[in-house]
Amino acid sequence: MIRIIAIGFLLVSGSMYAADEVVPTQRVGQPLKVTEIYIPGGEVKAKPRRDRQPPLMVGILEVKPAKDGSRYDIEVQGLEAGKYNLADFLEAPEGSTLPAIPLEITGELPPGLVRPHENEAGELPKLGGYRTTMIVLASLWVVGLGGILLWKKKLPVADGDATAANASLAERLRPLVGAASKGELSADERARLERLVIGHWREKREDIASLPPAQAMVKLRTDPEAAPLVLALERWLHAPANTTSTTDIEQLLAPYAS
Amino acid sequence: MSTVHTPLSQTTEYLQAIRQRVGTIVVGQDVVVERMLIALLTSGHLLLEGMPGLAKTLLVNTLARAMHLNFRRIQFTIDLLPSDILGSEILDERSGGFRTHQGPVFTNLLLADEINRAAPKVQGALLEAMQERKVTIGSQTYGLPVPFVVIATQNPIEQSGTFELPEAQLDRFMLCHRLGYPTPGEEEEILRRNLKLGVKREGAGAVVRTEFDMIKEEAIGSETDLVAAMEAANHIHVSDVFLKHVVDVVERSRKHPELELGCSPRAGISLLKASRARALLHGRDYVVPEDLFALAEDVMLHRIRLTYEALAEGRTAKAVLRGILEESVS
Repeated sequence: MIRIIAIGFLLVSGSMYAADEVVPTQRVGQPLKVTEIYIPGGEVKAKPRRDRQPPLMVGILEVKPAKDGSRYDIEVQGLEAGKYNLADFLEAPEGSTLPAIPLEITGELPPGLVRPHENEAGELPKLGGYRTTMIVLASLWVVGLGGILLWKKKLPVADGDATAANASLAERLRPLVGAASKGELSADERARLERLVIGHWREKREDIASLPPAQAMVKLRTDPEAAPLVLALERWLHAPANTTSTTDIEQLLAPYAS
Repeated sequence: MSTVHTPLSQTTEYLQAIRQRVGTIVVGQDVVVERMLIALLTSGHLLLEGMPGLAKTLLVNTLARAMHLNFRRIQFTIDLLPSDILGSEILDERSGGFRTHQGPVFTNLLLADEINRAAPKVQGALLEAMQERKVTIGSQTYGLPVPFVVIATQNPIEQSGTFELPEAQLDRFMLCHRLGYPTPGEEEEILRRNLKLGVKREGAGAVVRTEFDMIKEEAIGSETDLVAAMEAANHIHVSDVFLKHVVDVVERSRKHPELELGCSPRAGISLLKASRARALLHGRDYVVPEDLFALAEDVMLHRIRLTYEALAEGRTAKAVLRGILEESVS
């Protein structure tokens, strides 16, 4: 009799404890350890996940033998918020039923955690993307290279001042011829005069201008029209015994004065 | 033209006779003969660029015999040593001491065939001898015979296995003449003369004659005539105006935007000396711009170097030099 009363007390007190028991709770994604769960009967196993549907991931950490059953340490990870019965995710041996093991997965953020703020307009991606960027960079490289090459390139040979360079052959020749008639030419000016006279014939005669300078000189010294003047000029400017008078020089340079 | 006084006309005749003698053996190439004579009269050295078979050896040989000069030829190869050119000390077994063996450089006219085939140290040895006109063998220094002129050749096309002469060494050559092929008329004359060569009997055997067999042994004039010609070339009048022309052309080569390396002062000196010799060869006692323009290519072209940009644009040194000369008279 006493035994029956004791068993009855135990059952009542047990059901009262179960009613007051706190349901294990954890947030989504966080591991929840449920320990010392007594399950009568044969050893249970976690149901294998065959797809992504089950909202819980269940793993049995340790199995400890107990009278008429076993005690289990189980780790649960909730993927969706809700109230679940862990037994639904366990496989019991055939012919036995599992007691309800309630637990709750919450989706709430912990207290005090600032909620994510509203989306803000972000920066636009770079215009044109990779290809445009590469084209712009290549263009800059080419422009830079061109700049360096032009900067490095030597300036054209300056022949006297800008005014002299722009003046025509006849315009440059005239003052030299005038000065030569007065016998006022320096060696430098006489050299320039001779080069301009050669240039004058090259300009005047296309057949001479088309020849290489060496052949043009030979042609000038044998040409019936040019030779007398060129040879006389040579004698005046180069011969050691120079007997050319001022009058001779005037006559010699007269064709170039106009 | 100024009146040429007797000694000058005699010298001109002597030089003309040599040119004619060479002309009887070698067809065409009158310009090359002129350049060789210029080198001889000015103690300069000549570099000939041209294809094989253009009678370079025959020319030098003929000229040496006509002027009664000693002539030696060295074929430059990769395994040539400086001592093969300069000479060396040899152990004399009979006396037990060393005796000096003088190399082929001890001659008046030296033909250095395909100079760019030898290693740079061999080229350097010859070029030093050309510059200093003396050679040191062992501890003894020997002066080279006078006159001493090197006529070197190089093939401009075949570059495999060659060592290009650097600018500093090219500058030691007073003239660099580019030999061209003969004209069709000259080519025909060469063939006609070759047909007449015939066979030379030697004892019981015979051998087909070559142009070398046609070279006459007797010389024109003597060493005195050559010395007189050299002195005459040295007395050719150079006006201040001509000096200005030389300076102008050399200066333009240094400032030209397409040239990385312009002409050295040695180029100006060479231009002046060569112009004097050319004036003498043409019977003048003074130089004229024609001498400068005629010699500019041979004196200046091997001394200038194009910039990278000019090379990339396909420009040639010859075209740039022509531009410089044309600019100077425009």
